[in-house]
Amino acid sequence: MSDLRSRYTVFIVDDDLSVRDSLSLILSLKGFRNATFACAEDFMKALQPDWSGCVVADLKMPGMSGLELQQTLASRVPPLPMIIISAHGDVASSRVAFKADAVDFLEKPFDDEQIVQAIELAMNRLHDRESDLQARQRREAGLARLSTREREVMQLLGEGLQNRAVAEQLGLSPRTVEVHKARVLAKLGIRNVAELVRLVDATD
Amino acid sequence: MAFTIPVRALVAFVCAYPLLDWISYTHPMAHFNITPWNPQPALAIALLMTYGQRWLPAVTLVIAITEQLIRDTATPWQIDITAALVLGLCYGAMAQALTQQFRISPRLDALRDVLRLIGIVILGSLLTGTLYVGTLVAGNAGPAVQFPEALLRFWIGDGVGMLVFLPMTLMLADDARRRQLAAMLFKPETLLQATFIVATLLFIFGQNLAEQVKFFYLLFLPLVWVSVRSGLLGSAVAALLIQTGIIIAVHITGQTPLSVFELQTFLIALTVMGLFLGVTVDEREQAELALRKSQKLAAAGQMAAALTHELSQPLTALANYARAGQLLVIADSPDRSQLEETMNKLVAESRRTADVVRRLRDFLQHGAMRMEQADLVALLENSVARLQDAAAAENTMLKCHVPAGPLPVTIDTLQIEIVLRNLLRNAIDAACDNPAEPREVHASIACDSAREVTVSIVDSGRGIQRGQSEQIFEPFETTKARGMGMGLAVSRAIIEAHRGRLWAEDGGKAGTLRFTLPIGDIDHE
Repeated sequence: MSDLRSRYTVFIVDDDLSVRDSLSLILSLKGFRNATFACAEDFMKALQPDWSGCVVADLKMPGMSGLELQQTLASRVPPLPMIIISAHGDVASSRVAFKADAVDFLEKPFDDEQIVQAIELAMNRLHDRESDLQARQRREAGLARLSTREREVMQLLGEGLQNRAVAEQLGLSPRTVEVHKARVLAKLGIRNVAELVRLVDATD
Repeated sequence: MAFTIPVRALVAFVCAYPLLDWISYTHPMAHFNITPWNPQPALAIALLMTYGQRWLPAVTLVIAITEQLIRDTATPWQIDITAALVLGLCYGAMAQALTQQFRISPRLDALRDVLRLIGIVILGSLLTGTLYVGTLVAGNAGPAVQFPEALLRFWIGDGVGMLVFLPMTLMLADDARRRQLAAMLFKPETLLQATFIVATLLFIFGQNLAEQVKFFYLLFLPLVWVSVRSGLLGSAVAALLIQTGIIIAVHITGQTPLSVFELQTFLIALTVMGLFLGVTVDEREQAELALRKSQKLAAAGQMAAALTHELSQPLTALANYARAGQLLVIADSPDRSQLEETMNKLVAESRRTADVVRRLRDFLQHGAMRMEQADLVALLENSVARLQDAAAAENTMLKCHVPAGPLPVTIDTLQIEIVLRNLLRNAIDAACDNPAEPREVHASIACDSAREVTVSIVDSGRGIQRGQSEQIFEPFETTKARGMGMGLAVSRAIIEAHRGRLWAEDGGKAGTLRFTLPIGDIDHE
């Protein structure tokens, strides 16, 4: 868990100096890397493509609001999970926030436990997405390295045919098919035919 | 059931009933002893309404004795007793109808109540007259042929007596109305009104007998004046004064009973009109009061909502700093500077919290605003002086244009200071938002009317966008980088509690906010 705390940054966007400062202090003490911004515009100006982490933003700020910031960041890759904090949380805004996939919507004043929990949830989510992304990237790289024959074998195996049937269809010996299958699995970094079937389904 | 004897009321009744009967025993109709005004039944009805029907026997006894003492008692005693019984029972029935059937409040502050009171008086006196005159005719005390005329005279005499006296007596039984009466009697305007009524009466009865009735309508003028200014209580007092004047004048000028009855018929119309007008004025005033109260409540609610929001910010920070302090203590690092700094911030935040709470309390207490005489010129000059440093830091010229000499206003100084600070700060911020030079804020006072004074704050900012001049008064509405956008909402609530107006000029090149304050005394409930 603590490796996530150091891997990701918490971006605090709040127009109230004391809220910003105190939140930053408590998060630092709990081992979260963090950065503070007085308004959404400042954050957007500073934001770098390789920054990765979650955003804790106030709902009501002069200029761009927390919800508007959420909309602006919605299509970003890698994603920046949002936690909205608000001094006058109303059902309508929290609905909008959750529909746009906010991790949490906290009403001020909140407990440090609450915000830490929300941030950890956001980081786990971020971590899962990144792992997924990495796995997919690995697979795509693997697919690119397959030979034509290996790709044919993979396709037929993925459709659920047995080794023997594949061999017959491609005019190969079952043993050769076995060798190709082993190479496909190795290059794609997967363990068994079941995963292969799922992969082929997904890529079709 | 608790049972107490209303000694004072009973003694008053026992003295006043015969006294009134004696005073009003003028121009009696032969055989029937019917007089053109009969105020004393109002006392009987008011007593029964206030203290209950258990006093009906006592009231009837007083009526019977009074009849024997005052009236010409040529009639047999059995008839007198029967007539007194009839009167007592009829008054009892009217009191019963008013309290039990219609449940009218003795304060008489609703048109409905006054309407019912007048209806019961008119129908009740007709019924009483029918039974009373009928009793006398049946007992051969009066000629049967005079029955219709006697009934008419009884009806008018009792009717006018009750219309003039009953509302007055009922209101005197009510504490709030009694206080109102005392306040009214000590107003200089009341003396003027009374003089007007007396002068009008003198004029009317200065005419010869035939002309008098013609000029009677002039009495509507002072009655309308009093009713509009003082409501139902005023019209009841005025009607009483007019009735008294008429009776005195009738004694002095030696009228015939017939012309007195004519005058009394006019008086009925006059009194009914006055009562209706008075209660309408009362109702309107009550509605206005209720509206003002609800506005004040709404303002307080708005303020509370705004301040709740502002409280949650320092509370969040407080919780965080406190927790951070705890963690720092647990970590027990040899460097105490961070812990010390956190503790300092904690203290600062708790001060901020206390400040918000104080402001909330100040505002919510405005139900009891501390109104005092203050010099608006000095107040504005002080507010401007206090912000000179802040303006200079932003490169803004802050100028004050005020008339020479003091301008006394009755205000809650603290609250108006809050308003001035809010508006001036806003103006400085607005001037800074505009890159155009020079940055200026002008505060000025104009006394262009005798009733109110206008304070204007004009800045060299971009002005208020067309159509936005109302929106900026909504709580949480802000265009500024700092602040919660509640300054204007609160300021407007304060100014409205002072019976003034606060508004922004729509459109225009410069931002302009103005507010008015009434000059002179304003009464706050």
